[in-house]
Amino acid sequence: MFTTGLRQSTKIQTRLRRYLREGLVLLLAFFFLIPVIWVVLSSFKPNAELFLIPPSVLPKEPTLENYQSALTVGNFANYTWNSFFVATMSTLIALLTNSMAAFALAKYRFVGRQALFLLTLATIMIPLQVIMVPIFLVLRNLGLTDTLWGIIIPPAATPTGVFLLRQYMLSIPDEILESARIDGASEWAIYWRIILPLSIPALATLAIFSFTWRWNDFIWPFIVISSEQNATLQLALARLVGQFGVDWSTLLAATTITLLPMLIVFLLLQRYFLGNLMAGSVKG
Amino acid sequence: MIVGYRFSKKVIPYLFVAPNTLIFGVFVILPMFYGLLYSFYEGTFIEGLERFTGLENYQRLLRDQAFISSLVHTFAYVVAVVSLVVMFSLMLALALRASSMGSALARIGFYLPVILSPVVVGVAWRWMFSSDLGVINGVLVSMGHSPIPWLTDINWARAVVVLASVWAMTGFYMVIFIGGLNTIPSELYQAAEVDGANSTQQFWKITLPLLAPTTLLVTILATINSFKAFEIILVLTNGGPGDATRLLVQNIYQTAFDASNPTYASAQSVVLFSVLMLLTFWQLRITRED
Repeated sequence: MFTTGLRQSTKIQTRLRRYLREGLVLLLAFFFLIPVIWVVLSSFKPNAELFLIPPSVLPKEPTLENYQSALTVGNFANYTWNSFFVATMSTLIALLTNSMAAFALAKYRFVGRQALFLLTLATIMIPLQVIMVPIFLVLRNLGLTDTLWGIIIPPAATPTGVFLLRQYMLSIPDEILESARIDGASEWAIYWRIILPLSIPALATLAIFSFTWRWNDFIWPFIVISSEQNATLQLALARLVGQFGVDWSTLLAATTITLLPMLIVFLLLQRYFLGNLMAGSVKG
Repeated sequence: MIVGYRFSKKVIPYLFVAPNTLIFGVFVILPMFYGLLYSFYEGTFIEGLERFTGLENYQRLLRDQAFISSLVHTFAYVVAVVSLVVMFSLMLALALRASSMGSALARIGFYLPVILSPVVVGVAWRWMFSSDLGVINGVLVSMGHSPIPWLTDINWARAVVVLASVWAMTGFYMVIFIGGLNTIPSELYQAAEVDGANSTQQFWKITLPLLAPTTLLVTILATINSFKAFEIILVLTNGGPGDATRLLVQNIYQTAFDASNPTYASAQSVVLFSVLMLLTFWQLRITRED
């Protein structure tokens, strides 16, 4: 009787300690996220409330007027469309070209395969920051400066994507390809009808990451886009901050618009981000 | 017929790699060689390359106060950011590796800044730390404290820039550390438990030594990423006050596009590239040994 009581109380104690620990880490995570939470909360405050001392935690009179002015006067509807168009097109091109290259690297033996694979890996190491100047000149010679295609096409050949897809395709058995060849399927049909459908998990991973990278890209548009109408969200935000006397109410709403799609993608698909699949790879 | 078939069969893989390789070639490989070439010339965006000057651009670097100070700032920034990132991400990994509900949610929370764009990170931190409008000074003032010039004082600005960068990166390396922790066999801890080792001893004698390859990998990756830092700082301080937070990449950008000196900027890029190359080869050697 006595011993069971004791056992029970230590059981309760360990459980209590566990709950306390869980609560503590959650509280820490909440504090960690204050910079983001504060931007989102502030974006719903009318201009006068933004600079109150002491600051109001929750908006006293929540309003959408900041969003209205950001989208219309601030032209952020246009920037949102540009960002969406760029991220979508660049991702589609990446899926197609990366998977074609990955298919060849995984399933054919040809002269130069090893060299090409090493070259692909090597380009992971070349960050945009290092080739800003010459890439601007290349794009200018091609007439791609200040066009959306100038920021869509160059980053589409993601080496990480080729690598990821190749590793995945290596696990597809060659027998499937051979029997399709015997049935008279063309090589393109093998790629399009067999390899691609079987690679959907890897393609989905690449699509998520590519869209995130391109949505968040800043240096590309910063170098390539000079006009107002072709600016992406990231570029427009940076330009707004750079102005003398920052218009915070527009800026905060615009920032929330910019981070919202990433937040949704992340919360829905967080296992892709937190899983070990891509954890070791460099961003880019 | 058969010859034609054989020919096309040989060509097919090249057709498949062609589009990707073309984009790589035109937008990565070619610019890389151009950049190296430019660094030995004098020229402008409008006139193009004007004169071969050999190593003159590189010699000029050694006497260029703006370049040297940006290089020094970059090294100081990298050391500060990397040491904090390694420490925090390891602490988080140790605290949140458990598979409980609370830990899983907290992991999501700590990872979240990683998916935000650097521009958004910069705006968020500037909104918190703005000298006259920010919430931190708002709270300080309402408690009777005088406001702190977070972004206009040299030391405070450097501290905020470092903290914002650490905040944005930590979650990414936390995940790598958790992966590393999970490879340590649990039998080791059980054996240590039997031998009466407490958790502090277990950390120093088991966790840390066995985690060394992961720690080195995180250190190198974080170093590479910190050397490339640009956007967060551009938004937060624009390199200021003065040039207190202006790093190498911003100096390259300004040399090329504001001062219209693309060839001299190319020489600076080559220096940055060499540093990153050395680090990457080191990283590859470690990942291969793994």
